[in-house]
Amino acid sequence: MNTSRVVLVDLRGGAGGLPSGELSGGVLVLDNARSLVEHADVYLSLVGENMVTAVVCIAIGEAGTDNALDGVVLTVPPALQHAAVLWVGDPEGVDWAPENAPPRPVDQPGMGLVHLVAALQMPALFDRVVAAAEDAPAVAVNPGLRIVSSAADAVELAEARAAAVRSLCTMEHLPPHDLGASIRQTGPLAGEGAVVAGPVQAAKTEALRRLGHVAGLARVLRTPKALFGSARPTERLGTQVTWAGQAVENYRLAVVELLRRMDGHVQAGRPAVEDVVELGVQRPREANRAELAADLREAVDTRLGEGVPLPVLAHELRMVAANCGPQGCATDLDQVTGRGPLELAMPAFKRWPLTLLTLPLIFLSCGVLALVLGPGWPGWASGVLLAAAWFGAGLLLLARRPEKEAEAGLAAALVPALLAYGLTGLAGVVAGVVAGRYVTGQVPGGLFAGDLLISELVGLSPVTVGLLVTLLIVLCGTTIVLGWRGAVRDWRGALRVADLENAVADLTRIAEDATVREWQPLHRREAIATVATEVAAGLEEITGALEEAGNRLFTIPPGTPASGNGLASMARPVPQELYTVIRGDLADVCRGALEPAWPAAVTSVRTGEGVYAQRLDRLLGEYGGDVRRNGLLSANRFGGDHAPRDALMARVWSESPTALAALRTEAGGDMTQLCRGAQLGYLSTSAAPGLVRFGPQRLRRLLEQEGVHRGLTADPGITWGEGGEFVGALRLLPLRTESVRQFVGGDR
Amino acid sequence: MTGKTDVVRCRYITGELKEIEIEGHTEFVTPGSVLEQRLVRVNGKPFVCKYVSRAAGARNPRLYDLLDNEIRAGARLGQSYPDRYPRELAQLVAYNIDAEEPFALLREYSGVPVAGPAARFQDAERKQFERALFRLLRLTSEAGVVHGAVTTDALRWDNGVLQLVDFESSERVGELRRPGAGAVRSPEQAAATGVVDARDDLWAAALLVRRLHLGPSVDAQPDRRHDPDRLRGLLDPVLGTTVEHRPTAAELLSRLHGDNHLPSFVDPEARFAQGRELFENVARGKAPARGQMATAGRAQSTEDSPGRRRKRFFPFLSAMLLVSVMVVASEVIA
Repeated sequence: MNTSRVVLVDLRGGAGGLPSGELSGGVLVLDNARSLVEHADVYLSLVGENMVTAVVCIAIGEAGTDNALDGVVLTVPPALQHAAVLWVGDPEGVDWAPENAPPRPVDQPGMGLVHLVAALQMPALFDRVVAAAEDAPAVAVNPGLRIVSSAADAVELAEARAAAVRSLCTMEHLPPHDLGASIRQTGPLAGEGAVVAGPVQAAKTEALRRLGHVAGLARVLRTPKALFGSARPTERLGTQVTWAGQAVENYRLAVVELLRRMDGHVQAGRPAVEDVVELGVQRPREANRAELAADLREAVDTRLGEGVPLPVLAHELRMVAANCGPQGCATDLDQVTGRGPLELAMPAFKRWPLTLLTLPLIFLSCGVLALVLGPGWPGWASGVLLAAAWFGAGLLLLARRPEKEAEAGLAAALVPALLAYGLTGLAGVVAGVVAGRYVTGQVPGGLFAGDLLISELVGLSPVTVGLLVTLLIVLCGTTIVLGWRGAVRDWRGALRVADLENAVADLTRIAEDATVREWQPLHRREAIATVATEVAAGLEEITGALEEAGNRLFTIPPGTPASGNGLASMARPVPQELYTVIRGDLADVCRGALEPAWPAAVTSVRTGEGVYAQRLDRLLGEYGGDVRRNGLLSANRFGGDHAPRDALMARVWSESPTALAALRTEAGGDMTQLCRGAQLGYLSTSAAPGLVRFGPQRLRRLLEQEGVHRGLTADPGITWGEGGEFVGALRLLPLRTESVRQFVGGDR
Repeated sequence: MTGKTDVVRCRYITGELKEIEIEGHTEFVTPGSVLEQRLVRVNGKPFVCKYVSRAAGARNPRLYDLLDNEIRAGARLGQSYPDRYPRELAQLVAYNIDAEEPFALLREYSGVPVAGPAARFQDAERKQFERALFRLLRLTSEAGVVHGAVTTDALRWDNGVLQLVDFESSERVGELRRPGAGAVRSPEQAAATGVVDARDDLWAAALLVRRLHLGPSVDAQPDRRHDPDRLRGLLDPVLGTTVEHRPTAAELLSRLHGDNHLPSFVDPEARFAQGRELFENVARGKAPARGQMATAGRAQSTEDSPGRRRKRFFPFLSAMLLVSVMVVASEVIA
């Protein structure tokens, strides 16, 4: 027989009926001894019930015959032959040790029957008593008991409950805890793969292409292609620079528009997703709400287990909703908007690519050539040629200067080139011719030297003159080339292509970051906010309900003294452990009340207002009922964590030597025999009494863990039952055969 | 204002004086109102009647001021939006402040106090609430009205539509700030210095938005460093600056992509603008003459004083000479 539950049926009230509903498991019946026969049909139906595993009948009082001398104290109907009958002659009983001590009044009046009934509701003990009663050589047995209770004091229970409610409902300022960190991250991070395509990407490509083109033109500018030929970069450089700047600005505007649409959708639901997607981002990824809810549930359970008060947890969840929910990209939008307008400024090209510092060189070179090759026509002719070359080079460089839209052009460059380079060269020629004539006059016989060159007159060889002229021309050519390249270098240095390329990179980074951070996980963010908000709202409602309904739990019965419940044998629980147990239980009750939040969060169907409060109220009632029936130390559906109960049990029993003594009680030891002293004569002294020792399974585990009292834990005579707050021993003394009359019907 | 049906005289906000019949007197309570309120019917339509009973007025004369604030704000708003009155604001219809029990008659409020549903708002509703809140503050600030007590008590929620009611602590922009004991007042309002600014209400609104997102426990945590970036970006310019540097409700509304357009708005001051301008012109025209007169007057007065002193001195000197001559003559004769 393995009874799972014991139902108490009290037939003493006069109703004489069974409770409504189908009975199952073990049935413990309380009845007056005089009513047994009257309730015969009830017992018959009980023992015949298929789902009833066993019946224990506690018959209270005497039910003899009219003849006081026949020694009959109990009359049982036939149906009770299939039940265990415990005869209680007197609910208070007498303290008695059959082998050692005579009967005497009990120390705790009025508690014997109460403890017996409470202990017999432990299924394991119930089964053990049924078996012992069957083994007894009599129809009925008289129980003696020695029981120690660990039930908590009502006042302390109420105080611990009040402290636990306060602790759960107080808004403490704990260090910030990021509950959102416990939610698994999914999806790519910023920078992983291209996230923006379409028009925005096209604008970026165009901007980079145009910037690259400008950079290419700038590179070509230092080569002869810039000066000669029909495809000169200088022709369209200014326009290209402007277009490149505009392309970058277009890209910025495209990013602004993308961010604005994303932000608008996130913040206000406008524009539609399609309007955002058409700019080149993917649709937001679908979110796995169930997975998010599971992650958050685990985090919430962990925090509750850590003892975090409900308002703190609600605040943490609100922070999760606010932090992990859709944020929008207003900051990014401000940043990108603040960077505009972007443009690529066209740097001013040097006004004089062939710098005016070369004018002395032009003057001198033309003059020296006219002088060296003078004084005849070769001198001035070569000087004029060199001056023309200077003029031509200057004109070319001036004409090829890139300006805002196009190159300066020959017409614009003609007059400045003529005035600056041409006239300087001619002045040099004139100066050379005049100097030649002066030198010719100074050299003896120079005026009559005929076709001799001045160089020859001064003794220079033709090779030296040729070398000198060549050097002079190379110098002039080098000066011209270096002048142009220097101007190009300065111009390229002022061209901010790299800055704009960096700006494009920054814009891309901002757009991609915002997309990856806000847009792609939009549904995920919404789901997290939904789940966290639902749970936070639930916790806030539960907090309010617990503050009010929690005070109805474990109320102190009227007339209860300030401390103690009058039981000398009650091991007084330690308030701290008691508080920990109750707080843990209430946290589990709150966890249970929060249960509807999770499916609601997954389905986005909001729970109705008051649902959590009602559920909490109901669960508190169930919890209070469980504790009332089975005691606080019994495992109930709310005490998920066994450690606090084990700790409470350890403290209770370690400080209660009477508990262990009760477990060691022998059959002949001192117990409260539930009859009057005068009724002891009805008990058989020849038959061996049955002895049932019992204790809660939790105590056995505790003793095993601590490695103490190994004899007790290994004792097969001790029944360890789940639940219950009692430890002790039951002595079942059979009644004498002649003291029990079998009722066969008709004769009462 | 007693009995089941009362005939009372009242003035519409258009200035029209009329007699109306008020039926039904169901007690009505809103969390943001100190005044006594009833739900009444006029011509079969429901209205909220705020009033100060004789007994309540005798106990607390300040109630008359609260009713006065309600009427002034309601009248101003009604004059500012005469054609399409925004349903986001409580609408004053008529009032009588000369009666023994002065009252204000407002159109029936919509929805329920927002405190209840707000606790369960989802993210989208919170954002909707933000936009609606800043929009109605845009409407009040445009009309030059500062509510003075923007809390959940004064806000009602009706399926996404927010309504601001109970203007009992309201002030008018440009007036001197009044000292008050409202629960949520900006530093400038709490100090009761300077003049009322249209952005005064934004402080309370910002705190309300913060509370909405972070829960009621956040009221005890003024440190905003751990607030989400979005909230900091939105609220720091309001809560971290003085009123002069605070953004306007319209700017905040733009940032939130809210509806920033105004219903047809009439500046109540505009009707007096022509007369005021005429007065200013006349005043300016008279200013030089008056200045000259004043200058002349001052010159006159500066000249008069020594002259008057000389005039007083001359008879005195003459008298002294006459006395001296008489004394000398009497001595000579003697």
